[in-house]
Amino acid sequence: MKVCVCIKPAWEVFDTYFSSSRGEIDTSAATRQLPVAERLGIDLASQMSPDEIVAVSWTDAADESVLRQAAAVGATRLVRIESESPHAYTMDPLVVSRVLAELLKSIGPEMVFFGHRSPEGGSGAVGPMVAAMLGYALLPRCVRLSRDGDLVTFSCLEDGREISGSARLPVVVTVHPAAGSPKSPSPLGIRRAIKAPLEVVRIDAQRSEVDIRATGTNEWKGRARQVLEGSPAQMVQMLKAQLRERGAI
Amino acid sequence: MSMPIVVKDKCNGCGDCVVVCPFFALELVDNVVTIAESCLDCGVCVSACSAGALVYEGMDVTQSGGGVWYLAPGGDIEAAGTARYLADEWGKSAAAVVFNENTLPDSGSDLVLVIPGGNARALAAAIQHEKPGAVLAPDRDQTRDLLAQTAALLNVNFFSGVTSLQPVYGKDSVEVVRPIFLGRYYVRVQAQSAPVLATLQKGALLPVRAMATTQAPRILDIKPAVWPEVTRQESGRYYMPGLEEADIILSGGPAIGREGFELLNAVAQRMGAVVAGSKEAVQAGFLPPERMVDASTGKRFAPSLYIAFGIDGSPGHNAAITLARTVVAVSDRADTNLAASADFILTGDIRAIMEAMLLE
Repeated sequence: MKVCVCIKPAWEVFDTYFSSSRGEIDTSAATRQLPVAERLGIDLASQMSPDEIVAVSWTDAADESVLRQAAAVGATRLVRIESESPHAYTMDPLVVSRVLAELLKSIGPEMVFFGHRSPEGGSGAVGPMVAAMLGYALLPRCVRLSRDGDLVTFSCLEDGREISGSARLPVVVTVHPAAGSPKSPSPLGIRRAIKAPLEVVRIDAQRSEVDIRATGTNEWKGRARQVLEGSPAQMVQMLKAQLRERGAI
Repeated sequence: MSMPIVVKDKCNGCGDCVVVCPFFALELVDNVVTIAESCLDCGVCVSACSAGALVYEGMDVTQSGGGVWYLAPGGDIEAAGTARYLADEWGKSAAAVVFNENTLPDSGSDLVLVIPGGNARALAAAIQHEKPGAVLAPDRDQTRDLLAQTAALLNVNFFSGVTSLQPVYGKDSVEVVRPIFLGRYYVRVQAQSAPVLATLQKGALLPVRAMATTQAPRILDIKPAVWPEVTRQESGRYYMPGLEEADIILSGGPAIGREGFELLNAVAQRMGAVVAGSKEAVQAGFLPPERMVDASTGKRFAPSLYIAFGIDGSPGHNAAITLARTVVAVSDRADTNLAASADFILTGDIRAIMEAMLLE
């Protein structure tokens, strides 16, 4: 059985800052890492007894190390997609999904793993979109997974509730960070990862139809410091009204 | 629905559609696909065709005419206010969409559409047929999955976690604001394709105007769509998200004591919030280390609401919450460090304020 793990290298978010002079997010001091959910995806993929775990990523050559990190924790084949890359944080999930679906069609995996959502875009849409494009069953936000033949049994999280169920292969699985702690690479794994061959596939992406008008920062600029006075019940009533007005509750 | 039609000039003979057809209704003749009578209109081939050679006749989703839809699974009308606002701005109707006749919303829309099946394929077929300008839903896991899959089938944009939504005048389009980089930054984007599919966070959910639906629910004539089957059942267990994912965090200091944390848990359960604590509260053993709010952990949090009970506000604590959209300090005195950098300050008996919150 062939399994693919799709990886989105993630910026260390708190090493980025907003450059108000350029009106954009400055990532020059940040590095990109293999996200926890994708590492957990490789761990879950390994438990499915696959013949091959293919790590796939649409990323620049400079971030190739992220794919090697995937090899160190269990990926047996590495594929980097090269394409005209939109600006990292403007990534349009539809464009990304089209590119990944095209590659996955040619690989033909029976299971495809994604992280639940990336720290940058955070839309959590790529996994579901790829599932729809490939016609695979979607198992979103999985925390546990097992396979018996072509029957996959899963537990997942949905708005704070745990749901369990099953589906037949082929499936797309998105992995929730609550799935556990990812395994650390072994010295042997690290040695294998350094030498692992890396395939580069060129796919032309369709043009994004999302027009970016502006980016800005939500960083704290100063608080209102409004003192609410009265009895506990009155203060709570006033607070509730204020929070409603702000859209906080 | 009608059968898909083949645009012969666009067909490149790749055969992707032939492979995916579950009814073996497609074949290549002279390198161009043909559709047999055994076609059951499931639409799988249309989304599989990357060349755009298989389309539904007369279904151009860029000609939006059917108003604004909002998903109301279980009769939930949370997104009705925003749908009504957008529909009024565009001079069109607002329609509630349900998947089951037994869960009709009782107010908030001009009409109610029932889409049997309730999967992305059925919703995509209904959208192709009725051509709404926008389909909105509250930002929940299930609605996000459904709209993302529907967007993929229709090849249109999908925006999740939208915090603000405004119509673009002169166009049937919208400009949305959504958070990126764990909420640290935002991006304002405009959709260039129709319909606009979006899930809305609290900031974008406008109050619902009470108005009775004037028409009887309309059940759309969508044939049962073929869709991969996933069986599901609730385990009855609940999951408390990590602090990084939490939308509302209630945090306590050591002064509130063990009983205070028990009360805080009850308030949190009522508000759908997550309980956390200051470094001192964790050191006192009231909470596990992963529930600590302090910059020394290397983590910062960006909830939409952070309420601190009995926390003075050490520099480490305050640095960890600079990204919180709203900070509330509840304390027995007003001269704390945290009060100096909070949006709202409540002073008095902390326990009495917690109890009042529990009653609200």
